[in-house]
Amino acid sequence: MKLAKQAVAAVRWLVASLVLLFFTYMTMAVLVQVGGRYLFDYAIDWTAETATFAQIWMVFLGAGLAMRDNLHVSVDMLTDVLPPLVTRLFIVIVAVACGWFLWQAIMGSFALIDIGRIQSSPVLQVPMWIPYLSLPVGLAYFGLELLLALAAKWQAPVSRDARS
Amino acid sequence: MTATLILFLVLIVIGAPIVFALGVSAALSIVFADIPVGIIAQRMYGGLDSFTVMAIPFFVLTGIVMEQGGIARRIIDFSVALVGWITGSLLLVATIAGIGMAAVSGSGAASTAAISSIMLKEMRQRGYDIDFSSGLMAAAGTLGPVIPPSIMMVVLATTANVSIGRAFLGGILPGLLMALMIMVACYFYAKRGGKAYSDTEPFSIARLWRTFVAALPAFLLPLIIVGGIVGGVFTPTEAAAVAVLCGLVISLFVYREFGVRDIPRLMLRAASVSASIMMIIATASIFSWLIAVQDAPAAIAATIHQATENPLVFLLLVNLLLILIGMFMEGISAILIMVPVLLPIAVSFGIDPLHFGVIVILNLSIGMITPPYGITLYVASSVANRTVLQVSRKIGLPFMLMIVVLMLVTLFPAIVTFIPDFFMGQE
Repeated sequence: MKLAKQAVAAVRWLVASLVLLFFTYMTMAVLVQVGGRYLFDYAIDWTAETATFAQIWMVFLGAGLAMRDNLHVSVDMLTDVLPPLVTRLFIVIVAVACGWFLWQAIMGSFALIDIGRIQSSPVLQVPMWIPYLSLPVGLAYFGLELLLALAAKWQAPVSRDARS
Repeated sequence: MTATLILFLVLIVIGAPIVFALGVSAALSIVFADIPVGIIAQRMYGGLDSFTVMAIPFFVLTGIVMEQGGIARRIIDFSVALVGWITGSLLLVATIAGIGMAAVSGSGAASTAAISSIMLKEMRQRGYDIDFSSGLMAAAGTLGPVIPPSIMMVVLATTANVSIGRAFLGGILPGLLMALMIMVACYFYAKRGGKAYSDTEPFSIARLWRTFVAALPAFLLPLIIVGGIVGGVFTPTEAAAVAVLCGLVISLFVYREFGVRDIPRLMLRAASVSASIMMIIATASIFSWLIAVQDAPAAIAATIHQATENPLVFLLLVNLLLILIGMFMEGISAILIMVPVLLPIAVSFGIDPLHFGVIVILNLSIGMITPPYGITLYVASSVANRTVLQVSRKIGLPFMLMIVVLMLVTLFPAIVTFIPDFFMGQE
């Protein structure tokens, strides 16, 4: 159990570091684009492309962080007033449905990555499997955080007003 | 289509996060329609593969940086200097501060949280009705999505395919009109409200100037953003990144309320908030793809055209529908689902997409203060330590006023289009 907790903490630290890295890159790249155009009179075209890839990575990885921070909006009005048994039944249904969805998305992303091996981006010729890879990686972490969040809800079925 | 929607609602009711409710219902429909499920991953990727939506994380970060930098305190000080001498001063201050916060942060919940956490103490001391005041601050927060910059407006503009610059400008007059109506009503409410509301502070030009200078960045940021976009200096995404830079410079070197060491924490927070918004964009784009493939708008349009050929009747129906949706749903997912269906119908009635878009935003703003799911209502009550039910009993006045503004905007498209047409020419 202790080992599992350490593993989760390590994964979270890694994901948070990567998210920071991508966000910083996005900001810098767009500022460089503006600066290049106005300060050096030089139009840079690769910044938008790479910043967009960084954004895709940031969002798919950040989805799990948002789950950890309880930022994904859900409506708890009903589940708060129902008996815990029913709420737990709902938790199982939600877990199965969401798990199935993530599974489908991840499986689909492998097909995308396969295409990405022969496809490259228009400006910098970046192999497209690099941005596509954000899907399975990010969604797998999303699934992990979802599981942890639902497990916590299982323990305490009435939310402390989870919509904040 | 109907089955998809029902499934979506069921999932929300049993407590699934909206981001998944969208994804699961769309994915199941895809499976039942015998469409290859690979489309799910493709659409999610496609939803985020956009340089334009990158304005969202930047606006979120700017808002968080400015809040931590202490902009709310300064905006409120300025508002006190501006209207603190009028009866019911704190209510008016909260509304003016709502305009100011709307102009630095792109979201309503953040504005409401910032304003109420600073103002409640004094409202309590003076003996204001706390439920009414909280409801009012919830309403002041809804100016966030209407007055630029606004995250909801970015989502709307990209979904409706109108220029973000026009959309931003289009929100200004309706937002100010809303603020004005709320202030006038608060004044009369306070007049009748007795002694608690008559406490005021004397007006002083020197103080007004001093607080204005302190709050200046709050006025400069929207000017840079909106001016830069409208003037063709920046794309919206570039303007948002420049706003991040300005926000950091102001907070680090002018206000000095946090240091360089705090930046990673703020960025992580912004990344989390942005991801929660943008994942909705990702899963909703499966949904909107499905809507487009099944040609749902055309089918619905045919039915509506049979019932009426009057654009105004159509708009009134849309208002009713959207207020209802806004009561139960969060704004951004509502835009992503409803606009692709309703906009083509609106256009077939000859309604200007921008006019229609701002009507949608106003409706969803009203939804932010209405129970059961109203985000600013919820934030305001939790900051005030009152239940949502207690505050929602006093929400009637701002609610009615917002409906009046919505009706005015519905009837007179010029309220929306005047400023964009003036600065950017007619489209």
